[in-house]
Amino acid sequence: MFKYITKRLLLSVLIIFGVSLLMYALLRLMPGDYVEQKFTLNPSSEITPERIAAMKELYGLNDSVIVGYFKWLGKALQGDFGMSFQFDKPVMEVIGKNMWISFLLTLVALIIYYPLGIFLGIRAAVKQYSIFDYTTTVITMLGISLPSFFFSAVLIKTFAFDLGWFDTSLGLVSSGMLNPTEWQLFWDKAWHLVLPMITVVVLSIGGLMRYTRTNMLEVLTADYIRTARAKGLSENSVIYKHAFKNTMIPLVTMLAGLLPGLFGGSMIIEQVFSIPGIGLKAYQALNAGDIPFVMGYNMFLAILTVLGMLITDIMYAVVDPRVKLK
Amino acid sequence: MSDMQETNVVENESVKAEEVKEVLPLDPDALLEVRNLKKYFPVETDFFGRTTKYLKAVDDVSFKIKEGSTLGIVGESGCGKTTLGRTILRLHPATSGEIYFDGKDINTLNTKEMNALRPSMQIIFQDPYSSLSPRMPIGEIIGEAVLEHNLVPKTELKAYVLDIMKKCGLPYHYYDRYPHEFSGGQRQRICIATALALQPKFVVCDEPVSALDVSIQAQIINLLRDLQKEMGLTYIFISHDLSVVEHISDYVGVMYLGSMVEYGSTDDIFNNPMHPYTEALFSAVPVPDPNVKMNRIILIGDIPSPINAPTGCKFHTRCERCMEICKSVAPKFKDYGNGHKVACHLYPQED
Repeated sequence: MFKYITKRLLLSVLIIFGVSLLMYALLRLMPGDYVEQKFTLNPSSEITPERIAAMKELYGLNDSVIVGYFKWLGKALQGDFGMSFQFDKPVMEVIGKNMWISFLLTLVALIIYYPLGIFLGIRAAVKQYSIFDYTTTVITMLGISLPSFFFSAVLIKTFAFDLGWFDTSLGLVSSGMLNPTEWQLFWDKAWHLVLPMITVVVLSIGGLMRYTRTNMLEVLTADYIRTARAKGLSENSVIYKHAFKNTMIPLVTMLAGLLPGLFGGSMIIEQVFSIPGIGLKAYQALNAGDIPFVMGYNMFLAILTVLGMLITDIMYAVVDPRVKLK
Repeated sequence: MSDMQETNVVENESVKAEEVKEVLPLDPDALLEVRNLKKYFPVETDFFGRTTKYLKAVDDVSFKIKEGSTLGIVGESGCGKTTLGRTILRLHPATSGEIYFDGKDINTLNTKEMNALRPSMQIIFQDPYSSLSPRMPIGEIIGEAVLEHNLVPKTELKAYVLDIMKKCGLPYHYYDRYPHEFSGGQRQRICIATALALQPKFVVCDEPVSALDVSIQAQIINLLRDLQKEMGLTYIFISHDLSVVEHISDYVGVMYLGSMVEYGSTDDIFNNPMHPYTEALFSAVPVPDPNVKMNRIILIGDIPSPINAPTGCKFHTRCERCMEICKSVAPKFKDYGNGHKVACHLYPQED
């Protein structure tokens, strides 16, 4: 086990190098760098070409892709991901500061949709081709198919503008609160997160429900389920103890794969709801050509993804007695 | 196939006029009595979801088994042996017919009553590889139903399970192991232990040795026989291996295309087969003597489809001694003395 994990970690280092090189090259090849976007595309600014050249030199945009990459890598290996062009702060500080609100949003949504999706999937499988099965299928398929920006916009229009249940101002804090207590502030924030959370839940539950249903159907036709029935076990025992225990193998392992999504935030949902999370920052950085931030953000995601995959494989060995890692 | 679809079939089936049969009293010696059991699977439905074609897996089968005896069921692959075994235990709902176990018609029981009865009628499945849950240690597999049916107090459960395991030839340190760590023979012992832990009276052994190699087959067969003597079990032993059936059975039923064509004591059936199909089947049993010349009766053609079974006697398409009457009239399943029953026009049909 220890040997296996060490081997996997060493391999992960290689993967992350590859990812970083690819990311850097792609970012540099994007048309319009940070300086151009900021000054030259703005017709009102009066700035001399010499000044632009100096700025480019300052931001390191005059180096070739290879030189630029190794400069970035050299610093990154020492733990320095540089200063964000746009936010004018160290990249890690921006990530660390904005990560938690995204994490909270996704975590609470996950706690809601994971058990719910699994439960719906089980019931749909047990009552295959019933009205319940078809109804949940149609509704969850709608959830899968709706684009997140559209669904969020519909929610905002209906519940914030038409019904007025939610604040229509941007961000996480209501306008016009005089001397709010800590507690009031907390509830205010939580209330602002309700609609984004609903969006995440509705968009994510369908896939999980279908996945559970498919796995469950496969297990329910297995011979050992027939054995369990022949033993005279109650239907609940058969479904939740025998069938679900075996369905859980792919479900539990899938959980570890959600790691990057948990910390990485959602660019689109955070953008629509103006949540100052990491997804929104990444979206802004990407638009501005903020290379250090986008690199830092993507390295963060890449490391989480690789870790998630490793945990997935370890989980297999934990939940399935037939798997042994070597 | 879901249970729901199958219940629909039962309802549809009532359309077919069932001959009114006088209700005979139950045989007090018989632990299990099966009367006119039918199991049809819907295979084709029309636009409105009505079933237009059935696969007649078990078609009007009747027999009884004395307590403590073994009934062997033999026949070709696909003749409905396995379906018969499962329908008797109501693992498939029967299309029609009665199954009297210990004087009760189990088809009339509700799910709860049936679950309560299940421990006393157990089954050992054909494939020991797939019939054990991969995520449960075997101690739990054997013990869980014992606990759920409250057969043994919780504190004594482990000792009880270990005792059953010992009887079935499984050492005590296997208790916490998982099924994938065992060979086929050991797994079949686990399946047997699982069934016997519930203190059954009656066990359906559905080809319990056909997935195992020959040396292991003998061990398992002998284990089943020893356990039968020790616990007074009644078996239905389903197999296509005639030598195994001869070895273990007291009575033998021969099935062809869902119907029972011959039934009798093992001696009668093996020494005096009356039905041409039984004769052909037994002529294929290898004799362990190179000097004996075998007179094999080779059946021509494949077994017909149970969806479009032949009219009259179902065997007429392959029978060497087929007569005109066989093609149109189904022969009666009649007793020709000593409980030896045959369905064939070669023998007098009048009562």
